[in-house]
Amino acid sequence: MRPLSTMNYFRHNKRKIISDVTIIIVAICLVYIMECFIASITQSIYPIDANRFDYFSVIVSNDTTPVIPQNILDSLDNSENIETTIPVTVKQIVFTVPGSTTHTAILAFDSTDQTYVANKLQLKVINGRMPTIGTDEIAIDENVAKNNNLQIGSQTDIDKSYNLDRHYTVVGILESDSHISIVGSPEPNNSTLKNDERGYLVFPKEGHFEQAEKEIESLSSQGITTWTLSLYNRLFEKNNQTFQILDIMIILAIIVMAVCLVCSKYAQYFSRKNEVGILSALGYTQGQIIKRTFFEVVATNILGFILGLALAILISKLFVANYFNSIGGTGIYFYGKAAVLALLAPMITTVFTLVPVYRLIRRVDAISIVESN
Amino acid sequence: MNYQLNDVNLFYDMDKEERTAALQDITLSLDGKGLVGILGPSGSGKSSLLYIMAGLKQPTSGQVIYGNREITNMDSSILATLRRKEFGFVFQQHFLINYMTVLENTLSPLNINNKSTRRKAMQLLERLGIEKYVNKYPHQLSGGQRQRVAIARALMNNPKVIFGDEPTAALDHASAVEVMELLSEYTTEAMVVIVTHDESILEKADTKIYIRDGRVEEVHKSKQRRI
Repeated sequence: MRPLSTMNYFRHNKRKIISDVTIIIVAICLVYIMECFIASITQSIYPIDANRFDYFSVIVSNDTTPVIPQNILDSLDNSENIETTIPVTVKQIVFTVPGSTTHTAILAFDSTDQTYVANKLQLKVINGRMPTIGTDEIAIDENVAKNNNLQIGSQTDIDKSYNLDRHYTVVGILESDSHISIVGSPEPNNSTLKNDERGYLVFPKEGHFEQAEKEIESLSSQGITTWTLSLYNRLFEKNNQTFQILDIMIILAIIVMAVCLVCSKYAQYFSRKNEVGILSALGYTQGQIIKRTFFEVVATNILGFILGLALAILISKLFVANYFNSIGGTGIYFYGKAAVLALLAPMITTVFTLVPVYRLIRRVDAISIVESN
Repeated sequence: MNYQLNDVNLFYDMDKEERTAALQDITLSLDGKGLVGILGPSGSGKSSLLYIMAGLKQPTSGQVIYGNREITNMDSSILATLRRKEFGFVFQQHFLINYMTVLENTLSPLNINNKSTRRKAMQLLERLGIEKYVNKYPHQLSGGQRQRVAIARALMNNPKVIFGDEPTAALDHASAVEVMELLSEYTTEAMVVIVTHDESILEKADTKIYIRDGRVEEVHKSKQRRI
């Protein structure tokens, strides 16, 4: 091993290196785990809320328009963009992950429509059966079931603020990309339904998804509540701005951490002025001394990054991902954006260490070091 | 190796009204191997002369020619390479790198750690009587031992000129004599230039340069040159 090599320096200065690398590892872990946590929130909520709109849009009556006019239904049924409209009762059930809560759809149909929807959405009953029409039974999406701690035979809680005004008994667990749950009652023609519980699923024709969405969204000007994928995505993006603020805070935290580490590194190199001076006197050029320093700083940061990232992925998998998965969410532990943000810590540290240390080395004069001793 | 200094001046505070003259009108000619002593009281400019000869300091005016190369206007990286390949240094303080072992410090001018360089370093350390401290760190050695390591480091690159700036000043008399004995051994292989205010350690010097107030007062060359 060359005496002036980075490895030899590390070998003789284990404590310093461990201390420097530990700071970087901690910073990377914090950034990566926080980012995975945030990503797990959004990736848990989004599919539960949005995936069903990949298959259909929804129009719902409201207090302004208590009954959806027949001419609107006729125009939809006759549209070249729409395959069919299906009357539906819309209820909601809570879905909570740490940091966010949403309410996802529970739908009730007539018996023929229930079969059509089940086939169309490729609903797979992985346990139990579909609910019997007219009963207070529910076949619940497996993620929603996990989230609400429901199994076959258990009952849903009442949540009147979201139209869940009765206990439904779980008779089936569903697996589907749309994450919808189906109840047996009240059927869409039930007169006791509130205005905002009555609506239609609007299935677009294949290849006409965007045109169908535009057609449906245009109905909002006629006083009808409409839900499409585009509309949901716009709302989701708006809500996501909160997380963008968190990203900025994370970057600020990285900068603060980097400044602390840079100060510590600068102090370390300042205390090695004699070494720089004597190497210069022995005939090492400034370029060679700067190169040596560069390798030390870069190697420390690369080591910190690799170890930090590995540890962060492990912690994210063990704690964040496992927890989110256990409550029916989507736990993220491999996340590119988190890795890029985590990379900022060693990058900032490297750059902001090298610049002042470079200036320090350039200022060091071999003779002034020799004479000052 | 020949050294030629032509009308070398070194002034400090050039931008002030009253300049400080560290060296004035130094013209010297040194040739071959042997022990060269630079003597004078404190502040007389002897260390400045040594640093100028070693290319560690640039004179304000004048020429320093080493061999057939003028080092006064040499590019700093070329000058550094020259120092590394042809010069060895021993300072008043040992200036060993504290986290490196004796062996690593000795190898540091070459920055090569292979069988051949290790053998050479071991030979030097043996010759200096400190081979048993090869894996020790500088803080585990006495002052004299550290200075011996510094000498081993200075000799590692087979220098043509060894510069010693008060190399015995921090040592007791017995250690000082020993160090000078060791350095004197190399006068058959290299030019050894020693700065000191203690003439007693330069009994074996081939050339003595007396400096006072930045000027060369006298150059004394011994009649019988050792080979």
